[in-house]
Amino acid sequence: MKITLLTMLLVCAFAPIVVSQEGATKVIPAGSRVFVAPMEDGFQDYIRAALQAKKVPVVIVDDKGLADFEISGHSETQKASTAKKVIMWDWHSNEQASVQVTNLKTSEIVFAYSVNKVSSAHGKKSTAEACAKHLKEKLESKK
Amino acid sequence: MTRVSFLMAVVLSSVLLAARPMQSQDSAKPGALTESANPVITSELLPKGAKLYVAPIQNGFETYITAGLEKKKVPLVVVADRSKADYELSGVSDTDKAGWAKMLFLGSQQTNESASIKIVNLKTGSVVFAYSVNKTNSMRGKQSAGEAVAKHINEKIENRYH
Repeated sequence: MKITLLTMLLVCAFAPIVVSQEGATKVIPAGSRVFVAPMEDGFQDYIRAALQAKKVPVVIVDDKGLADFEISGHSETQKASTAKKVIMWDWHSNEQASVQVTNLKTSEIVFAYSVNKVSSAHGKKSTAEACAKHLKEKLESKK
Repeated sequence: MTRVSFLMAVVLSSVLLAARPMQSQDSAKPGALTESANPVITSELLPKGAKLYVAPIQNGFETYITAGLEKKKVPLVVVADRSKADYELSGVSDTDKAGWAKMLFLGSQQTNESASIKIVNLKTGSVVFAYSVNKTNSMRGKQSAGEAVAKHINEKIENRYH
């Protein structure tokens, strides 16, 4: 009876550790070194600026070999056409962007986010800061 | 002593079983429609925790799909290295922007989005899932199409997709 109880206690003790290790691979620790990969239209520069503006707790490095994570993605700008300006009285561009953060050791994508802003007040800056803001939330959630 | 060692073996095997990713038993029995060398759509399920590689798609749509998988909390591990993946997602995407006529007569500047993807088992070469989406006047452009794809992949994993 005692041996059976001991066995059950051991199973209960080990199982949560195994399960939690699966979720731990998607955590981005604060202070991680990130490399921002080149993107279309120089969107990587907006991302770097946004990471600083939103005070995201990561260290941006220029050398991919020194980084723990890589931020890559895609950005698209649709400038306001003459028709939009005349008919809709709107000269703001439509922006959409999508980023993903890859763990360079495991090649696993640990975070991904996409944003779409119609008539964006500040263009690529808005989408980049939206990406940075959600990345910061991911870091702070520690999940 | 024999009893103790038997119980320890049971503990170790249960811990090892908990560490493995969940797999459906049906995945071992693909129902192929033909026996040709070309990939065929099978009734094979997509297991939770499987490693998925999202191949590059035009206009960077693969990143919208990855973001959609994250947003919809699809239980797959997305990897950036094809050699580490169990499955590969590939497809096409197209965006139709609003012209002046649409803005004038419909007052809409939203785009029409369409996309089509397939997921292939890299070991067997069989197509385990395929899906197409078409969104007219998409509120959020590629983001909407990417999330629609992710939502249906989730249904496939949960075996609710028909």
